[in-house]
Amino acid sequence: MKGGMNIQEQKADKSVIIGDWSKDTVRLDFDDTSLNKVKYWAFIALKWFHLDGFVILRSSIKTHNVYFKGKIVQKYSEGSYLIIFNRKVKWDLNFRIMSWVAIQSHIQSLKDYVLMQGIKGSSTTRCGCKGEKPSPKIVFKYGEQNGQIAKFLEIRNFIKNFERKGRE
Amino acid sequence: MANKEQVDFIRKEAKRGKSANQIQRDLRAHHMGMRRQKLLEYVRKFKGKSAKVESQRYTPIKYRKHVFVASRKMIAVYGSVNWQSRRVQMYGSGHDLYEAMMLVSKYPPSKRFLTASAGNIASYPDEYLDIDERWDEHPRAESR
Repeated sequence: MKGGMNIQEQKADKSVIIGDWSKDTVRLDFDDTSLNKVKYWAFIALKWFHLDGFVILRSSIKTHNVYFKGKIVQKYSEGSYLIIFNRKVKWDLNFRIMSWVAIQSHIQSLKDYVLMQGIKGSSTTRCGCKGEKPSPKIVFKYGEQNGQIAKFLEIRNFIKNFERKGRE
Repeated sequence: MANKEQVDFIRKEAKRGKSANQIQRDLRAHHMGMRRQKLLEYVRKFKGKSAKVESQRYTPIKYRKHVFVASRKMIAVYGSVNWQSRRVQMYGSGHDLYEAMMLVSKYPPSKRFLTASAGNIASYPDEYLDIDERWDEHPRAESR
């Protein structure tokens, strides 16, 4: 019993989103973008700022159909992807990198994401479920994975375990 | 501290693409030997490389510091209350963090934006959390 509340009786609520936040990890959130475009910007940022390595996670995917005379002539998919970079950086450089990619890529949702991180003073990525959406899955890895990525994966495991046990 | 001659020598050798070991050997041969730690700093600087994050991994086992430090996790829990977004950013490790997450996922914070240690939230939930309110069923908050 702590502070008048019985912890054992409680169960975690599904209506919240759980994520990982920090100031020293470079994160980028690409909404409605193809994986190839996400990879392109990840490699550009990696080379330009010497970020050692990165991991791309897919948080959701949408398939669009292109119709012509009532028939589907082409299908293409766009997803929401998250990029986590391996190198530990200070907040000012972190914000500089995020802003640089947002400006260069001309992706409005990424610009919004960067502005929001600037307001909060830290960057956040979702690790747990969000409504019906499952937790983000790793789809691509490149370079070193022993720095901030290792930390992120540790927290991701912690959150997944929490959700599994707490929401049973 | 390295003198100007040593620095110039390291810069020249690094530009040629020589490794830190080769540069150290050459420095000794020219009677300009220096501490390896300092030498590596200069080599990194001239080659434009950053230091390894996990330096312990590259240290021989007998010289490693055997100090257990529980890694501090930083977790954000967010959602909405009456269609208004609320957010808790907490840091901590182990049981405290787990308890705090349990509490926060049930009761929203009294402020719209809260950053606090997990230990404090778990010990004094009344101060940080609004016990009478609940999170909205379907969070409106975006994944950012």
